[in-house]
Amino acid sequence: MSTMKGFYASISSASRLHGSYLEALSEITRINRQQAKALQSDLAWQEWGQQNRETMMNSE
Amino acid sequence: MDIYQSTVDYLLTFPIFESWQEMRTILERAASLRPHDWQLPVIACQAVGQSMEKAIPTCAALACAQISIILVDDMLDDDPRGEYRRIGSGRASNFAIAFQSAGMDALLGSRASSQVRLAALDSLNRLMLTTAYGQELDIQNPIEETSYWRVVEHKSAPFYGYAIQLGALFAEAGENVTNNLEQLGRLYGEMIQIHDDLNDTMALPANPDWLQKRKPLPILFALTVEHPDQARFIELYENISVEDALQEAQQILIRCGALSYCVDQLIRRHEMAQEILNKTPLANKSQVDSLLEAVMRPVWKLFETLDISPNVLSRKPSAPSQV
Repeated sequence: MSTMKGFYASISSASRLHGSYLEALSEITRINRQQAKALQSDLAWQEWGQQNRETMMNSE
Repeated sequence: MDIYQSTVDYLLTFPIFESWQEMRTILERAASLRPHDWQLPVIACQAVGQSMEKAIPTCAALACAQISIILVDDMLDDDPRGEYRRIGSGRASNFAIAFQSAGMDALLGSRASSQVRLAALDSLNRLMLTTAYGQELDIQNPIEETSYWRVVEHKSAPFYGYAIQLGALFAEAGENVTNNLEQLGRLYGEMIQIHDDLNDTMALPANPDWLQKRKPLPILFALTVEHPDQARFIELYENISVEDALQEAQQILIRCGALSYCVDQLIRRHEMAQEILNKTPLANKSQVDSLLEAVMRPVWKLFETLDISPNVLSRKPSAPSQV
């Protein structure tokens, strides 16, 4: 089974499982874009490279 | 000891950096940005109880490999900020080859035993080869989740797995510990890729991933799973440059569970990495632990914002998973 579809089915019925892990993840579906910023980080793959692209050789 | 300065100093002892000024310039500018990834071999080496100095040739090899990958990655992604735009694709490719070979040189020229150098060369070679294959899979823009995870397995995980393995090899950690650290590094790399996808999809203005119709994990979820907003999301995805389309699409990503899914995938990988760490006999686990904690900090921060107790993690079901 698709992990995505299985996950969606699980959190869709999670309200019946008060205090559970799935209910916690289900709660994330009710946040706004501002709150979602908490998940944004500087951990991204090649993040330094993105800065690097702009500065690596552009000293001339 | 400054890892970045030591890495540069070490590489500058190799004649090619003396005769090729632009290579030296690229290296020094990359080091000035203090990329966190260059520390990975040191973390592995210290975890095994060895000194930081012992890992410097592996930091140098990894630094060269990363520069090489980025030079090529920019061309593959048609990134307008890429170096190839300034010097042309031919020269950028040539620099990439030079840095790849300089990485090999960094290992060969070290004082490690022949056995260690051979194992490290094998590791670095696999890093480059697997990443190149992963890049090839990635530009085909996977459209379903099995293909997506296959790209992650080849593109993101090997870089981190082999980066940590290099440090363990130079610390002469023994086969079992080296393998465990490599596995842990792979999981770490997968978590970094999930963060990358989260950042790219939630950024304002629209990240190139949206504009180029790519499918990072949250977008793939919203396109694949049958949810009430699926048709609207597809419409927005196809017309993301229309005013306010991005904001609405991002709100759907949250509402349909795409972000929750990413959080679930991060938590499951973190748990697996912790299990590996717990069973690995290391002289100093704290730095590896900190590495894993740093990648989970955004999740804990969100939980705190929502007043979710970390205790819920112990009530996690075993879900269908590809991890």
